[in-house]
Amino acid sequence: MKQIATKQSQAPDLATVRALRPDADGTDGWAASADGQAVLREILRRTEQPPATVGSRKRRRLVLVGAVTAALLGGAGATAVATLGPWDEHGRNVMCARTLSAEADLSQLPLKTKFDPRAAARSCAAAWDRMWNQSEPGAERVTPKPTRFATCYHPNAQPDHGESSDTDGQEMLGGPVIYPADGHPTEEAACAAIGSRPVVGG
Amino acid sequence: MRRRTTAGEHADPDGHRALEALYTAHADRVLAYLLHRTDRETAQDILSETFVLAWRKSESVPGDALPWLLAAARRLLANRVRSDQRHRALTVRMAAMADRSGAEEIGDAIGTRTEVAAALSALSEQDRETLLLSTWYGLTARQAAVVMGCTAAAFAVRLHRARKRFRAEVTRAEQAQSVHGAHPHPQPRPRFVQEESA
Repeated sequence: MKQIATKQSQAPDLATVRALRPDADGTDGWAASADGQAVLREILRRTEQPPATVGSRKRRRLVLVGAVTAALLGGAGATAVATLGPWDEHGRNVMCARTLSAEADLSQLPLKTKFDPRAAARSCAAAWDRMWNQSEPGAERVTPKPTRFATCYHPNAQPDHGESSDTDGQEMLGGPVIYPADGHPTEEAACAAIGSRPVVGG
Repeated sequence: MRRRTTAGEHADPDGHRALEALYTAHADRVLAYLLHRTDRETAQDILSETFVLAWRKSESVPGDALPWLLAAARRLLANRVRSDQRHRALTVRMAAMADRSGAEEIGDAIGTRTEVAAALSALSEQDRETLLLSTWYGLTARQAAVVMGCTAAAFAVRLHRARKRFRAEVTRAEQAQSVHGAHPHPQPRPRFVQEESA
């Protein structure tokens, strides 16, 4: 990959960071390689099809790939355990979102976080800085810790917001995710803001 | 790249030629960006999604398409791969570079790659991304701002702060190394750390 050297990038600290760039990623000339051309053919094939209309989206079914997507969708139809809500007792499957957004970054709850399945949002609050603010103590907080949370089904696990593929009804919703909910009076309102609905017992 | 909007015109050859040109020009760099953050299979999937999205939203793809493509790839990857997994993947790749022998190409600008990799890894995702966009991908501040979804002025501020925190982390890593006696043979301090302490 060609690098464009700017004056600023010659600064010693930036040069030091640049030196860590993996240089054997094998991407120079990849687009022209057999592998790259195969991907291009797949792209061209996909773009030969007209985008789905709303009606056809209802009829079509989505084939989803990807760990997070699969995990999230896998949770969509899960029935909440009576006493623990949608979580296991150790909090291994708790996902916290950085923002109330369909595109929010998600993080699994750090393993050492004390977890109470009856108050799962507290765990996201407790682990907030470890998940999202890893800069040195005293530094400006990049992502302020919310004061309110809501547990909603992931509104859209598709990477392009459903443009290339689609689902209908409840299948559009993914697994439970704990979102920041500041500014929203109820969980319903917060979840509705991202086109979702609250998780019972979440 | 102009895309027709009626169903019968989607396979228009002009549009596909433009898409092929876009792919030829930028796929290598978008793939490199993705490979630094995830495995090859996922990277190629996201790359494909990125160019399909560029086709569908061709009206909004600017002439300087690379930042737009990287921004799209970044968002698509964020939806596919969790933040902690991206962090881990990047850390692994940086650690591999840190272990690489031969630092001659950067001369005395670096003390130990391990310290620098540790310092980068300790930063917030936003700080790290800001630094990497400025250094690994040869983007101008304006281009990097497009990738990050902020103004050029905001990116400049973020970069300034990220550099400051990065230098602090390197200093901390260096102090930790010296306390634990990790260097049997003293190595030169990073030049920017020397400048900071002068």
